[in-house]
Amino acid sequence: MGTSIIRHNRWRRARQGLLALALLAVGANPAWADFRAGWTAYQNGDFATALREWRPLAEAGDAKAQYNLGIMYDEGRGVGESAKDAVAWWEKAAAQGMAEAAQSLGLHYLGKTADPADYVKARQWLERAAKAGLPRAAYSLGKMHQYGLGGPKDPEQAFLLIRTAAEKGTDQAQYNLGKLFRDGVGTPADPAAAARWFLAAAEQGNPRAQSHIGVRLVKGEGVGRDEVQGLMWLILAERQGDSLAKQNRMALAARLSPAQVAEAERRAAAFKPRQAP
Amino acid sequence: MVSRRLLLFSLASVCFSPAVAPVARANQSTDANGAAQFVQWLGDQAIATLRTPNMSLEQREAVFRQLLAQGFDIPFIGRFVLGRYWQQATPEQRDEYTRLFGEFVLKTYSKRLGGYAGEAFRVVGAKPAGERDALVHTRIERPSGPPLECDWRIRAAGNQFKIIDVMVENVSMALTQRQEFASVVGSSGMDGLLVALRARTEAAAATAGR
Repeated sequence: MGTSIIRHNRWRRARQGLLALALLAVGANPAWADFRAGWTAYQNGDFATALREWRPLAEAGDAKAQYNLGIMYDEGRGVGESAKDAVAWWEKAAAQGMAEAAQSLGLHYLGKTADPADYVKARQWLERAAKAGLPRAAYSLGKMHQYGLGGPKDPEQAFLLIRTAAEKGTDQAQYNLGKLFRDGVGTPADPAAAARWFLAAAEQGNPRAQSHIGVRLVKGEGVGRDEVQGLMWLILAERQGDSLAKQNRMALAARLSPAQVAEAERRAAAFKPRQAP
Repeated sequence: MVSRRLLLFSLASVCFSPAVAPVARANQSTDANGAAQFVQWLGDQAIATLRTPNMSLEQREAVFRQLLAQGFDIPFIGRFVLGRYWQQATPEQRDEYTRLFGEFVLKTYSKRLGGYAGEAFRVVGAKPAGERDALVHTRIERPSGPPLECDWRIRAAGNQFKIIDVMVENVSMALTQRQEFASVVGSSGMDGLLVALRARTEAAAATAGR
């Protein structure tokens, strides 16, 4: 009897505690409610309302609202398109440690012009975002090292960065890692590893990677020879507009039996790209 | 990747659309009235997409991009914009460029035209342009902000109408991009342009928060 009262009281206290926590998270946090209201409006294409909700939050120092305001200026949604304002808001969010904002700044400078000064800035921001673990930033930074944009060419560093992004599932990075293994750039050439990474990107629907793994399967390069499976990948790549795959597909299909071609077409029709993690 | 719901929606929108795209007559010059009908048809489809409830902004714009992909002659515009550098590019660079340029164009227009609630799209006039093309003048009215005036340069290819340029407030997008791309390729090479295009097409979306 005594123990049950104690249990009961404990339960009640725990329940009160939970309730208080829930209130703290939702009811007692009007800023979060405003943020959500802004998000709903944004999704509905009502950018004027989204701005009304997010601007005061951003001005009060909310990093996510600052980041979203930056996106709205960058894309000219509900406001005049203004890269300058976008950068200003992203800088505020990045100063609070928001890695996505650092990534957006990096991509902004990378995509803006060919001005060397911008490449240097792009590197600085992408480095911060890549260190925080964003694969898209690691991949872009890797390409900058590979091509020598904003600094000297550094194939080893390019390889490490692109591998990081590939391992996190970025299909473009997987495709590029395949090329680095194929050509022996920043790492010893490794045809089997090249085929493995082309396949990983191909399975996610990357057309260039589908074209490459298709040819490798036909030749048996770094992977067991399988012409029907090779044809399937070439068909898939061609459908996405890969002109080299089209030539290779036509040459291969002319060589295979009608049954083999039909099987490859059946597999291509059943193909579903794997979702990125 | 395209979600199941999105695919279902796209199918539905194709099935229920009042008519298929107006067909061009095989002719040397592009019929201005036919081009105007084509642009109005595209606009109506676009507005219908924008009014579909229960879709996220990204989903709506993905459907919108599919629609634009049918309307734009992207390989033609892409080659024009790259100018003399097209000849100098390797086959692999050309494939990559064409794909990225397509994404870039579709993203640019879908965010310019695609996200807005309560828009009205009207064809205001059409006239022949040069020897082969027609120019269709449109006005997009928005609940907030001034109306957007656009001219669409249309060329009939086979029996299809295709958009080959858009002029926003009399500035040709294709010419603007051509100058911009030439300066990037001139200083950073074709690889620099591909990196820049990728950075632009893959810019991140807004965050939902927690």
